[in-house]
Amino acid sequence: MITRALALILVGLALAACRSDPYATIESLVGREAGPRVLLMPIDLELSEVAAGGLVEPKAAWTDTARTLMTAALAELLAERRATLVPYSAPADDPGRAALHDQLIKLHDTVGEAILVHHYEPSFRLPGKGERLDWSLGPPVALLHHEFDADYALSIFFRDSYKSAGRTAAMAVAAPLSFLGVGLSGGAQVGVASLVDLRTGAVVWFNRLIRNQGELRSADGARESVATLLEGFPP
Amino acid sequence: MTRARALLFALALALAACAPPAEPPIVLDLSGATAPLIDPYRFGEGGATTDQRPGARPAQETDEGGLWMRMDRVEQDLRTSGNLVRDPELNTYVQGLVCALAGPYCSDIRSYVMRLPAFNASMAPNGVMQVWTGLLVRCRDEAQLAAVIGHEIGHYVRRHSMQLWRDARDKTDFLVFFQIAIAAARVPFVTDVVTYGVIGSIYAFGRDAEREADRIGLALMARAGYDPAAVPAIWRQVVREDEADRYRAFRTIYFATHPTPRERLETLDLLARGTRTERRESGAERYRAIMKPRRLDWLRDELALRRFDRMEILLATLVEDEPAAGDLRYMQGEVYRLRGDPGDEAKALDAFRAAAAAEAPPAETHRSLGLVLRRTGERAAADAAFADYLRLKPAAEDRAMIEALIGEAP
Amino acid sequence: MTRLGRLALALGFAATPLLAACDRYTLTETAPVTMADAYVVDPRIAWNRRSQGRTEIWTVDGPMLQELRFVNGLEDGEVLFGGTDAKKLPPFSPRMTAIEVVEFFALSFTRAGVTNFEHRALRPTAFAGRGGFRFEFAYSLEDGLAREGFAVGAVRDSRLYLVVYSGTQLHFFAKHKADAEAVVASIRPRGGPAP
Repeated sequence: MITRALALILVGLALAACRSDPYATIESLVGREAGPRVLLMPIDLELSEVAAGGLVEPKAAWTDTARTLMTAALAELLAERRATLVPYSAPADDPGRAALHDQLIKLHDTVGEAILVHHYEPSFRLPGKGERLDWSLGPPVALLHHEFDADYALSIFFRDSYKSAGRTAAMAVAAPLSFLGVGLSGGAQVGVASLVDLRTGAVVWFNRLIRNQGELRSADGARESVATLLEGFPP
Repeated sequence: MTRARALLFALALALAACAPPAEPPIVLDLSGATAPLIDPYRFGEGGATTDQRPGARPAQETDEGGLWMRMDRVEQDLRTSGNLVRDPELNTYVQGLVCALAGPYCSDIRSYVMRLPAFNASMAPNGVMQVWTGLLVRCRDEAQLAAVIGHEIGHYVRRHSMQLWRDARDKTDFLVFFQIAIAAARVPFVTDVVTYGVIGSIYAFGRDAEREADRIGLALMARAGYDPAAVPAIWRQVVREDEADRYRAFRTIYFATHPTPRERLETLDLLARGTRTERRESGAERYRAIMKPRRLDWLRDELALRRFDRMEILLATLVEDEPAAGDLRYMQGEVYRLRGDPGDEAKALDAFRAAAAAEAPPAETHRSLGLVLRRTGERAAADAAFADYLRLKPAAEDRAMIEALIGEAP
Repeated sequence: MTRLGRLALALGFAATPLLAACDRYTLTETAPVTMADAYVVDPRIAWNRRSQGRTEIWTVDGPMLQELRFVNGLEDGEVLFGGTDAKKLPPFSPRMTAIEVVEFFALSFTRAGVTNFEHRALRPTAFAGRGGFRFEFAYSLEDGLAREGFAVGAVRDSRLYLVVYSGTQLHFFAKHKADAEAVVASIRPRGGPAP
């Protein structure tokens, strides 16, 4: 089963041009007088290094840095839209409420999977949806709306890998052999981001980013990566 | 152990399209007597310099820090996993056993009981230990569980995941250049052979780690006062189950290079005999008091695997200790009822009748008895068994259906 | 977000031959649909529909969120979910009572990686004009997202027919439960030997 899914994703990656591919259902963010409040869900982030042999080694220090830089870049980009970033925190002393939060986050993840499969993969398109991005988490999101006094929730999944020196060498050696089917992949960015309207549950913006460039370890690079991930984000 | 297997699985996929069969090997692969026996009394007090120190966390900049970060994320998923058993009493029991064995590492190791069938436990580099319910139903006493947990603690202290990772990285780094050279010469078959060879050598490293963990586990459980004989005993059970399986999973080329559980059992038997201890506790009663009220659902999960031959042996082993246990007799009947080999109907009837006469059989014993009797055409006896079921479980969720079956024309 | 195992399982339940030239989703009309030459249903709303073998899936938002599954006439020895693991799943037998069919259903789900599967309220009900059964159930996948469902079915002429509606406990099960109930209520026999 895992190999089949892996195959699907590899095929998806191969077919997708290296680009960001956003869809939005609203013209602009709608909030209060002082501008909309956007709840930032915990960023699912990992930076890694591709060893010569292709093993992907997670890098904790890079990831910590990137998380700080990304969060700052997000706040900046949202400020340009008069929006305020609200940090998420899990309910600490209430196991019942924490479990409900967990279920809601898992529901969001599963809706994200459904969008990736049924909206982005042409062979799994649902004709009832047409070309529209038409998914909603429904009334349960009211919980977050009230707890954080927020209008939207922004969720980000991001993986960012870099070639090691050895991988660069291996790729250089392999490059002339590409006609034989020997191709080695290097660093890549894969990102998925969604914006949910916490008053209705509707997914109002969604993006998938796949490219073999980008840099999250510097402030400028993080700004560029976040701007690319937020392409088509409602103004 | 699952972690290492997942790593190697991912590795195999990354290297070539040579995925091992989806059926996981259910044995911990360790054996051999070459590794030095650790000194249990220096454990955690500055043993080998490469040991994990109590309370320590690797620096973020290191490769080990990266692995910990990844495993921390896995741990978050584990905390909300559908398979997590949240039963506080059971968790307190398992973590208490960890602490009794791990001493200064007590708070570094966090145990998670996972509702998954099959004999398995695992240790991640950041101290996340998984104990599968399939292991809990197979252990016959606390000493056996202590042996397995001690083994996992050994992995943690000796940082085996980290070493396995480095070993895999170094070996695959070599491999990629070799593959390129071979592809240039257009000899694809050779690539496969070399790939298998390298994977085999990574597995060999894993086996050495397993041997070492075996020894640490034995030393820890003996120090805590458990009978060292429990260590070979659990392997004896694994061997019995494995040999009973007529559909034993096909082993790929690198699994075939593994020492058999039988070899491992013999090695551990020798080591256990040579281990000096003052006490030789089994903790059987304490263990059973915790597990017995919980095991029926876990045994049902095993049943869903449809490894009936294995399960027959497992139940026979448990029945040796508890000949009067109604739940075990009932499960024996379920194995025969669902397997459906020639003669199984008669065996199922015998088992259900034995269960009904034993201690505390589940009410479902009578329902199953009724279902088999219906199949053999004994409708009156079947209806009587169904009536027994409803009498013992008046609020049964399938009451309306059972009543309809009783009233049905033959 | 895209955890492989979960995706695989979700797709596996949809019985999707991923890389083969697989059936694409089409849309049901609101006109009555004949299932396996055996019975007729009214879709009530426009569902996205695809079939594989004896199973047909209807969904609005994707099978991992909610699905209406029609198992249309499983024969002796056949399994509930197609695909590579078929040999490890329990086989259907025409001798099964409703109780054993539910057990067959539960064991198939558990074997496919579902955890904490619980069923309740098994009871006789009409299915396409004759006797059948109905039950409710709840489960979660490894991801821990709670799901629930209900099923109606019958064994007719040695074949198993099931109509199963399920979805996430949060929102998606409720979203089209009334539509699914309406579909189930509309099941009626077609001419011919089956139901």
